[in-house]
Amino acid sequence: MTLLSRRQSLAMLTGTVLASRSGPLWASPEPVWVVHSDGGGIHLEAIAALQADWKQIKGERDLAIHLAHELPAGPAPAAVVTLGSTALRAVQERLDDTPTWAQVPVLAALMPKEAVHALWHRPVAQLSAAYLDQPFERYLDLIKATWPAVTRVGLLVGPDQALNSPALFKVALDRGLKLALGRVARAESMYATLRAVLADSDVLLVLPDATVADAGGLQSMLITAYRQRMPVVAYSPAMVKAGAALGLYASPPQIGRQVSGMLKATLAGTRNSLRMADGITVTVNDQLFRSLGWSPPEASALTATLRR
Amino acid sequence: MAQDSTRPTSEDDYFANVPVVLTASRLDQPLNEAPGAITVITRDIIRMSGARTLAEVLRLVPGYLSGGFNGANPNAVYHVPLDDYGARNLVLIDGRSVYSSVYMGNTHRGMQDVMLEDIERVEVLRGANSAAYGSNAMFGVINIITRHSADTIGAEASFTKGNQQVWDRRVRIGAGDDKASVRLSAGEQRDSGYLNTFDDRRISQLNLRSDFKPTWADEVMLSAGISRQTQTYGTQGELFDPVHPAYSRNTHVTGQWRRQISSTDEFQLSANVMEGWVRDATAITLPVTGRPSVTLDFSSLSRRANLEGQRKFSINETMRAVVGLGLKEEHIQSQPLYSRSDWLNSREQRAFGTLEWRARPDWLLNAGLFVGHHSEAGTYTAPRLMANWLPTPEHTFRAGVTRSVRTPNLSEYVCDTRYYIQGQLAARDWACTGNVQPEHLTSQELGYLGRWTNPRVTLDVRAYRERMDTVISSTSYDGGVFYPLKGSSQLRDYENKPGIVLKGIESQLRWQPAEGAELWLNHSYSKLHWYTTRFQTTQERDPPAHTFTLAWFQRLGGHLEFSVLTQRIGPMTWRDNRDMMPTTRRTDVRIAKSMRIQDVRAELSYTVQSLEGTHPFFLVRKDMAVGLRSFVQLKLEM
Repeated sequence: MTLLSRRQSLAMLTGTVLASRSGPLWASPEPVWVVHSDGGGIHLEAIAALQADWKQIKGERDLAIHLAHELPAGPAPAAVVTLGSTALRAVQERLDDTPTWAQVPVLAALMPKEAVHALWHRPVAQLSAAYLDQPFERYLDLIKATWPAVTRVGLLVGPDQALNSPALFKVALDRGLKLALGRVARAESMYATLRAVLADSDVLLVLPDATVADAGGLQSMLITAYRQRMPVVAYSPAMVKAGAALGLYASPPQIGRQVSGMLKATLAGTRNSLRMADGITVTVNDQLFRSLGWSPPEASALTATLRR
Repeated sequence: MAQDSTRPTSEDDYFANVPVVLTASRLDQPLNEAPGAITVITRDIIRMSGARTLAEVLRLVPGYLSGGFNGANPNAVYHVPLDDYGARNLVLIDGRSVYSSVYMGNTHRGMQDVMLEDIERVEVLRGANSAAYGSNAMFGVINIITRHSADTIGAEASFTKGNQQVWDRRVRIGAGDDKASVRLSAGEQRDSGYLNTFDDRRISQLNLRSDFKPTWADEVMLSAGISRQTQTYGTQGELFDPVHPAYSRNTHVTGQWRRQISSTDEFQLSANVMEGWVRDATAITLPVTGRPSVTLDFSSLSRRANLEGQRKFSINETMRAVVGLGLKEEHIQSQPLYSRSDWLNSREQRAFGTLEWRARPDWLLNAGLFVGHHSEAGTYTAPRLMANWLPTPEHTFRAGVTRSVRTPNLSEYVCDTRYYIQGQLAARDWACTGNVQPEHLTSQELGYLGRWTNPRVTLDVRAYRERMDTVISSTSYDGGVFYPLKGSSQLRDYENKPGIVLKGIESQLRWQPAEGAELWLNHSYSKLHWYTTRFQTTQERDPPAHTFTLAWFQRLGGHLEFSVLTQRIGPMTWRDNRDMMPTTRRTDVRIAKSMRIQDVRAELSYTVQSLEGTHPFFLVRKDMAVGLRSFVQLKLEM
């Protein structure tokens, strides 16, 4: 993933905002606010892609970019796109505090599903979301595409994990896979559960989970799985760098483009559209594959397979 | 990332940095990038092989043969028959070299200081590796890596019972978690060795391993162990080889600390101390007037300490290096072997370095140099240059040259064995002059490693031409004093012989034709040529021209698995021409059923070794033979 430097990105954003404001302000319909949590590269990459795609699909409204902690006063926008938790929290506070904003549709992005619903307390009809989460079956498809002979996939989940176990087992079974699911009641018991899961697995799948996937838990999973010559499939590029064999996630530009499409639908009247990530990026840890004695697969080929 | 388990996940979980856990230096080097041929045998394969000793496991390595001068001393060696004691093969258990300081530098006793169930994997570096590992790695390295104690939490017990007095018991307990863990294994193995000879074996062991992770960047491993063996030696009816028991005990303490300095930089410090004690003495009564007795004694005590530090780091994107320093001290004491009661000491300092340069994406060059200074042998060097060409991910071609050295062990300098009758010197056998020099080996190697995913096949080929100069071998000379007990004045010594040329090609094909099935086909061809005809005719040690090994590991449904391992060894001698072995075949079969009863995993297996029945082995003229052996094993793990 290429991250734009903050200076480059801010310059680009400023230019875009100014360009979108170059017409007579009084003649423009209310813009769409794009509220981002901070000025970091992830958010700016997503915004840059959103703006580019919005221009390409000829979005009718202007995009006004705001930092979450610098929201200006003013009339209600046509819609609000939030990027990240801080942005959604700030926008929700504005909706709560400003009666004229009460009906403004909100499109939340750059957040996991669990975080969106933990934060959102307003009517669900007002909310649409493009989650960071990949569909579970997509991870399994990636595993099958990479290791066709694999039959057992291990997965650890915390006590609050909302994943529907029977549905997961069925999704796995449909792909000829047996799921070894370990429920971790508390962080202290994670290692014992991990060992039990690894004993029944060929590949370990790691999904975001506050109980099992904190820094210590990730380290433990990566080291223990490697000692047993077992590859780990994870959900972020950082984890691939840390030692996972494969990563599957949506990149910030892919998220930006997904938001652009969903925003158009929102402005056209679609409400409560809640979607998993459309974007597919696969990262391969070549060094780890070679170390395990396997030829590293082509990330582009795996991505193409998943897209099909 | 936040550690609060009550928080929901956030975008930070997806995009925040995670400490790099499996850094470049922590990852094992891919086999196709290694500067030599490596065979890896995993825990699963060891289990499925049905082997009870490591020597039997190593039949799976091309070029290695499982032997042993009797059944109580199983050994696996490379370049048979030049190394029937394994002295030119470095055997490491978690980095600790286990050769004997006292007698011939053998490795067969030390190799048994680990229980097979505690082994994670064995990496066998075939061919000269002195440039990386020093003096003893002249023919190869058997690198035994035991299981991390965090992977053996819980308990395990196993019982094995069979014919030929096979009776093994073992128990293991482990506790802790991934931050700190400990394992204690205790076990005993018994059998009656080969047929038609007195070589019963009983080995009792207690091994401890503990691992700590004080910080994310540090790993500490401590291990300790004691291994006691009781063996029977001797030949019925031979006066000077009476049947008698011998006892030995090896103890060790090992520590290892690894620190991850950065993602491309690692430091490792390791230290170990060992003691070897042997009690092998028996009195014989001479059939002469007065029936005097004489004691045959090979007892000894040895101590060794080792300290080594090494650093692995990246110089830039294309260059990586390993550099290290080490120190070894040896102390041996044996009145019967050296005719002196004081401690004999030697010391070795060493420095080593390896530079790996990826000159182009498809070219990897590896240069290594080991410099040692031995208090007796002086300074020696062992360089290596190897090039790996990787034109595609499937194919690797390797070519290189290595020069290896083996410094004589203390025994080869100072041996002096004397026999007394009623306090009077009656005979002298070994009387070393100390003139022996280090052995040198120049090895030229061509290698190929092919890996395909469809079909799932790996092909590993090594062709070599090895020229060994100044081979240390026994000789005899006239000591000038006639000993009536011996009937001669000849004394034995070690000397450097002109040398040999060994040529060969070995290969291993591994094929997974279907899920749960794995086939290994090994072949080894070797030809030994002595420089001088005189020496060739007097020694007549011949390796087998061809050795074939076929192994089939099959997992079936219903938690059943079976394996077959069959080996055909061409005519050969382990020692001299009087013991020429004809072509031998040995087939081992194992079938196992595993089950789970609540939290207990159980496995019941039945193994038959040497299915073909009895065949002569090792010292043929003594009627030594290997016979059909079968045993049942029950293993419980919880």
